[in-house]
Amino acid sequence: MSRKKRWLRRLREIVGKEYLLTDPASLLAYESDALTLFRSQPAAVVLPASEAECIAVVRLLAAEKIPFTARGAGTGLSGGAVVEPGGVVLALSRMQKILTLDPQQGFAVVEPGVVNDDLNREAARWGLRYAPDPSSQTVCTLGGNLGENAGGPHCFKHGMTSQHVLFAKVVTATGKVETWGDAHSVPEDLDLRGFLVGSEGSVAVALQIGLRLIPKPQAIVTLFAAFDSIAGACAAVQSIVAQGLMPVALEVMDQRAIRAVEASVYRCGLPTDAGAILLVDVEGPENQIQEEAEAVEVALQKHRPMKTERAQSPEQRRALWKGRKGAGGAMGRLGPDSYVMDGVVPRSKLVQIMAYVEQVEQETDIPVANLFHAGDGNIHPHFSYDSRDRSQADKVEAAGAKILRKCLELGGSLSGEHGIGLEKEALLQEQFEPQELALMERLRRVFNPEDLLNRGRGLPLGSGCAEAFHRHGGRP
Amino acid sequence: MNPASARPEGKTWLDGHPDPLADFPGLLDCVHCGLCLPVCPSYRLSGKETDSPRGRIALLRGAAENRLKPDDIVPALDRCLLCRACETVCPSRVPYHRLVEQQREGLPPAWILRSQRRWLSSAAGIRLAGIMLRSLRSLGILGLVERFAPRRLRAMAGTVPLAPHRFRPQEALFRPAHPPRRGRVGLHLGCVQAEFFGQVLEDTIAVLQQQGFDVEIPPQVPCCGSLAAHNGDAAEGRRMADRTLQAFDPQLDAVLIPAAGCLGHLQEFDRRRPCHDPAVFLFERGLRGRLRPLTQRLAYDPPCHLSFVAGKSDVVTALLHSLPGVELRHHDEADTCCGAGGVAFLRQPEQSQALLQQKIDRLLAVDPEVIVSGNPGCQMRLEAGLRQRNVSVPVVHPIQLLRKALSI
Repeated sequence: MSRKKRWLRRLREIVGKEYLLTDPASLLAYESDALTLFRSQPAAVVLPASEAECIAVVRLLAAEKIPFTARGAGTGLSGGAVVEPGGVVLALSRMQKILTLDPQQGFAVVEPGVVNDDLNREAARWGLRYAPDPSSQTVCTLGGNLGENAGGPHCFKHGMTSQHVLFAKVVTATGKVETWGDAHSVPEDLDLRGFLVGSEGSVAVALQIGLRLIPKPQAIVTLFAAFDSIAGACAAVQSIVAQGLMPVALEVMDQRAIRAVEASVYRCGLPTDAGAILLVDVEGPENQIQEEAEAVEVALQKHRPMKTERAQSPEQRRALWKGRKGAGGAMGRLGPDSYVMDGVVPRSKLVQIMAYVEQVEQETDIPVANLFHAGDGNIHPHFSYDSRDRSQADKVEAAGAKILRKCLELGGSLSGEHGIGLEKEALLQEQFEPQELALMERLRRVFNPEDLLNRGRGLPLGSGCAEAFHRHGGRP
Repeated sequence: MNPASARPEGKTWLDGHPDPLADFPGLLDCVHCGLCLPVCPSYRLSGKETDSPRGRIALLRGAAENRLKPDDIVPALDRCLLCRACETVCPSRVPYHRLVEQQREGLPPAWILRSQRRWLSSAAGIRLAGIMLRSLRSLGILGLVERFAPRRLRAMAGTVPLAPHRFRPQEALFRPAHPPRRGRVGLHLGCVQAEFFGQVLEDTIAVLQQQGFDVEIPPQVPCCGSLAAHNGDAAEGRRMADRTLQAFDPQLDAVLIPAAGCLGHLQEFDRRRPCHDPAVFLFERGLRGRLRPLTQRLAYDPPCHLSFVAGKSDVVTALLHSLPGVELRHHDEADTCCGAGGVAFLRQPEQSQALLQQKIDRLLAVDPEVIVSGNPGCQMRLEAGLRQRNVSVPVVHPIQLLRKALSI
């Protein structure tokens, strides 16, 4: 029996034959996450149902020295859940139990495959919520959120995933089980949580995650302002932030994005003639938020919006947010493939970076729609292209890199929330000094010494690991 | 002979399409966002990407691009229940069901599926199956079939109602409105409905008459073709839908269809014809007369095609809320398919059984006295699931509650 056959058989023994996938269709289905620009077919996909199965799988893969990558729901947008050819995808979608929900102390313990929104629904029964709200929150898993340090519109005020992780029980790439952090206190020993969150699955695989839950807001005001240009919307954001106002979310959508939403099942009555809209949430105690919402409206007026409107009912409020969160998916109507890039600039540079995005769009002649977390300075140009046309795919990738370089030049960073993944690996060397990268690598090697776990993600190892992965439609 | 069975064996949906990506534009509309995953019953059950709409579209595209063989994708596509929940959340409006139906069109089918196409998806076939199963039961050997037959036959035997009530008039039927008259409607019986759940039809007629509508049932209305379409014979599905609607007088105020599966199919075939569920139709027109209190705990499990194709399950919920004395309890995942999926329970008996068990668990958790459905396929499966647990909770169509409340 060949070595491969042997470890496949042992994997099958661990999870059962239903949950070890090696047929051509399954391997194709797991060749990418939501960033289809990078694809690579695994040798197998394994779906453990429990902590014990997961640990057994990791130990086996470590012993056999098989590269592997953990995956949640595959909604990541930087290729973080794609394994190198010949590796194994460790799909955690079946580990979806909420183990503890403690309303008194305000925390939950979940398995990594629990869907972000499912936790929210449970927490809501106790008047609580889990704050980070990626646009894919109805689908994406908390394990994936942990790996990528996911953000979302409402992270402007409440902070990203890293600010909500109390502890994590993990299995490292060598198969050791450890718990980092504590549900009840700040760790007295070395606090490894910050190192784990956002490590893009390259340090350890989470088995249990302790997450902070916060009270649901007493009241929320949602309002939007329509501007004739994206520059107007960005300038308004800059002055809201400069005044020290603290809305929970500040989201910008440009005309292409608005029109895509209004043509989809998520239409919510946005003005399709506007150049851009700014969507704002203000939350807090009833008596304070009226005042704050009015202050925001005054700030908006200075930038002469075409109109401003407050959501009149909870239904309208929900519809507006569903529209915003469905917008990324609605890009499918604009072209056969979509490439969302993710970069950050200081908020004071928003007008500048958006002007640059427009310039790049004109140069490459590939349509871009913009919908982004303006309050965080986190931009998301969506390129609509056709991956069957190799030159278009190359252009899109080059355009993404150009915009990211501009972000760095303006004092920003390579990723707001999607992570480095395969997408931005080459650019890391431009954001960090060699010593910094070496330190990160050394640290990572402590837990992942053989570099089996999500090789080539988050760190530029050797030259261009991403080259090993097929780009653009899976044809080399 | 229908076009599908005339197709030579071994041919696939890709034949005759040298550039399938151009011919099936829906394939390129998916951007892989994944918003369809949480509403997909098969994905929720297994957690596998290949059991999600997004995964299946990727497989279809893979086959269209020659990266997979057409046969590679059959098992994954077969597990789709065509409940259509995904289409209601898809931001790119991918015409998902059409892609799946196209793929099923060229399949070299296994015998049971081939026979489904030839006769199970026709009125005569369902009648025949009904007669067969009933005689098996009266001979006392249905139990044997349930125990020893191959899995698909067993699934069918375990699903057929214990006390079927047939309502299929041989000739045209006209029932006059009680005065004052409000209008004239046609009633489409539906094959499974007429064969097994005729009481629903009789209740529908009684309520419509009492509410002031003349009811017409044309003679010999054929099967609407929905099962044919779901099983890969779209052309036959359209032809049958056309024949069905042709049978009704175009001057009717509406064609009323208590079976949600037939309703969705006929509505999509011709959006201009006013086709409605009878309870929805009456509630939207306004009920007349006094409703007596029912004092019952209900759970409403809306048929997928009433929710996701006709888009009317909210109206039924509102109707149930409006019934005096009724306590409508909400069970978890009410919007998730019960696993019936037309004849999907024959296609994938194990998956269907697992979904049914989940559904029954969630329903029983709210301790209902009556379960409300609205499609004979769902009703049959729910009854089978309750029977397996030895629980006797009746499953009814909303129109039947209406009849009770109106004391007819």
